[in-house]
Amino acid sequence: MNSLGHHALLGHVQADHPLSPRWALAQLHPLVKSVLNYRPEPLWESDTARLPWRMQVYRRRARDFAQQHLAPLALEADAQPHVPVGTLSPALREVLVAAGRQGWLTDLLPAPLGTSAWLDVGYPLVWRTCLRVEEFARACGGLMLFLSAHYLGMGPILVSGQLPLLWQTLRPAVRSTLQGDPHLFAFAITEPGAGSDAEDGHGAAANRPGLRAWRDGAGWRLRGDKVYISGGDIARQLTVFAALENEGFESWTCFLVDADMPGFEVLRTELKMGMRASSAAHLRFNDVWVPDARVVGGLRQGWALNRATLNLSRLPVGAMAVGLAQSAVDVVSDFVGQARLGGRRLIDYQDVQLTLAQMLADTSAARAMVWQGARTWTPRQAMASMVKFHCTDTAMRVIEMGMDLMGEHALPHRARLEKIYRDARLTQIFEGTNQVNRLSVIEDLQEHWLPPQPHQKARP
Amino acid sequence: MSNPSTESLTQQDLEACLAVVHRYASESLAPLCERHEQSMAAADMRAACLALETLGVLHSDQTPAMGIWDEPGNALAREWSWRALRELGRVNAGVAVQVHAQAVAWHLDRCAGQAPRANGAVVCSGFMGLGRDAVVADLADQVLSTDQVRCLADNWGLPTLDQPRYLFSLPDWEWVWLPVWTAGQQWTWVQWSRDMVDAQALPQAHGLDELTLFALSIKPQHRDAVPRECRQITGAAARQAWVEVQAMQVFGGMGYMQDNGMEKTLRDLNVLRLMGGAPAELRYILAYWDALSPMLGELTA
Repeated sequence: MNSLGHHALLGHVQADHPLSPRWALAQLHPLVKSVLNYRPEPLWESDTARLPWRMQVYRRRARDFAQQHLAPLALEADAQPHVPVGTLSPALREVLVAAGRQGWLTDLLPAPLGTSAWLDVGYPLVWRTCLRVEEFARACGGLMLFLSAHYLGMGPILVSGQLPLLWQTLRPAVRSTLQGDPHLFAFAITEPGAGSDAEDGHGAAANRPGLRAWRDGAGWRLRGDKVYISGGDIARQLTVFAALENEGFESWTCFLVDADMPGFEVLRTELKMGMRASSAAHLRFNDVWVPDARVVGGLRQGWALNRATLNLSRLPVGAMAVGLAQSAVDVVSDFVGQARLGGRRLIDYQDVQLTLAQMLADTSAARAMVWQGARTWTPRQAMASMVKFHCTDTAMRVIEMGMDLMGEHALPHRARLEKIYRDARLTQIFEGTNQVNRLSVIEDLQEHWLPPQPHQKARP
Repeated sequence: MSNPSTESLTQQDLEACLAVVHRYASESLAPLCERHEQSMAAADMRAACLALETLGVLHSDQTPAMGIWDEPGNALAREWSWRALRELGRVNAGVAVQVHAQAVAWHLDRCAGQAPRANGAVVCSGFMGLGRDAVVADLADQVLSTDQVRCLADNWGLPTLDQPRYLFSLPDWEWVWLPVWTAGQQWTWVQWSRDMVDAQALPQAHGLDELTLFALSIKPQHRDAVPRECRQITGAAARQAWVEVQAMQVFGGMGYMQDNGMEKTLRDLNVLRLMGGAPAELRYILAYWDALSPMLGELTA
């Protein structure tokens, strides 16, 4: 009820008014009405209904888990003091174990290499990943990353195409995780001197790799540092990219390193602006020896594995941003529905409605872009990068609109919005900064601006 | 309010004073906040405020001198104020905000015709920032609509637990100035003592880590009548103080924006962006610019 006693927001007609769109649709011919009339359900439901039935089930399950396990812990996990390297607070461990037992840490592949339902294997796994991380991020960005970074570590193993390696690695990991002892992976590419350069071909060509591997018996010795590795201090195994001695980035090779191998050391974890429930570790490899059997995908295949993994992982970063934008919409919707000024609720001011509508539209458009990009088994670099930078930039804009609307009410920690801002800021930076992602789009499309090669047909 | 100490102020004097602040900021203040992820201790911050008082940058005498915001009517003194804040803000935005708020509070003390009180604070926003356009319309002497009057009363009424005011300050503040509007009295500024206020500390605020964010409301027993020990500024003086304080807010903001630790700067900027009216509300000031500019005098030149 608004302040004038109507069951409608100020400036709108109520649903049973003869000029209400809702009333009008109900007057249509029954045949047409059955198509064009709709129930006034939440937008989340309408969006979900667009998905294939199995994906609907998956999205609902992800939201239920996020609401039950992640949302109640979000503020506490963000504010908790910095824990020593490799440790977890009891609350975080509990969430991790619960996620593992319910299959949320292993659902890329079906049994026995994972926990995804066989009925779901027909749907692109990047699509499912996007649905999952959006719902998790909507509850808490940090907890989302805490539970998701490890899929990135599995990425190179998955795209190596080596079935024996998949079998030997994933099967025991899945079993242990399901039994309540989570076996996490981490993905280690960033080096102190190479952040964006490891995400971009041209940058890599001009950069000298820091982490090196040299031949030693029936294996390789690794020496060097990796930095900002999500979950690097709690992972049991890490996919680590290193250049072979005296060669450049083109020799990049992926090694599967166990955290208990001699010489592996976690120097520290970072104090971060946001996504604080997830650690970012500085790792040191003091001549860690890795046997030949742990070379993932073959020697000098690292760059290929890296590119393929990034094409799969940049889409979910867009989805995280959508989840964070959605949670900003949630917070602001609640606020403007409750806070009063000048004798009415804020939502009864037209300019507030305009801002909120803009936030909803931007979030919806970003989600549509993620879903469109993710509905494929072969994500293309241009699309994955466009989704990554566009959706993360959009999310920041949506969150800033929300902060401007709430003013100083956005600043206390308990209001949640300032945390969403801090969490979302990271999505613009990791998986290649948004600037590098823009360049990746052009890199993938550069034939368009080049003269045709002699053996190619001219462009129509 | 002319004053011999600033009447003869020259640009040369101003630069010399700024050099002193610059030296203090780089040599004494910067070592206290080298690690931006570890916020400065409140005791260090209070000591810094006292040191700035000793230097004369903050000036708590009843007679205005060369302290920050001592003479908002003098263009050169005003330039000195925001540039001094900028020197401090270059090192730490929290320090600049605290010094700024202290200086504004002392300005209000002087407007009330009494000696400045130590450990003062000031709140310049209402419950919802500026509370839409009503405050600006009123200061611009426009005839207010019924909705605008309601907004004034809602936004600028005495704060309650449900409709608090926000304050970023060192935790040991003892007095706080609040602008209040009621239908009967129109604008007043009331200086409440800490024990008359319910001050709820809100930990882990978005930025300004050195300061504490409080939600303030006036205790029920003090809501009916303002206690005698509270100073007040009423009538035309209250309106004039409002315009001056708004100008100090805008110009003070120019002092805060400098680099210190990128993520902290980003958070601090977010706070400054929302303090005292969000950007969307500033358009209301522009909407009434023609009517306001004569009151702002030289500021608009």
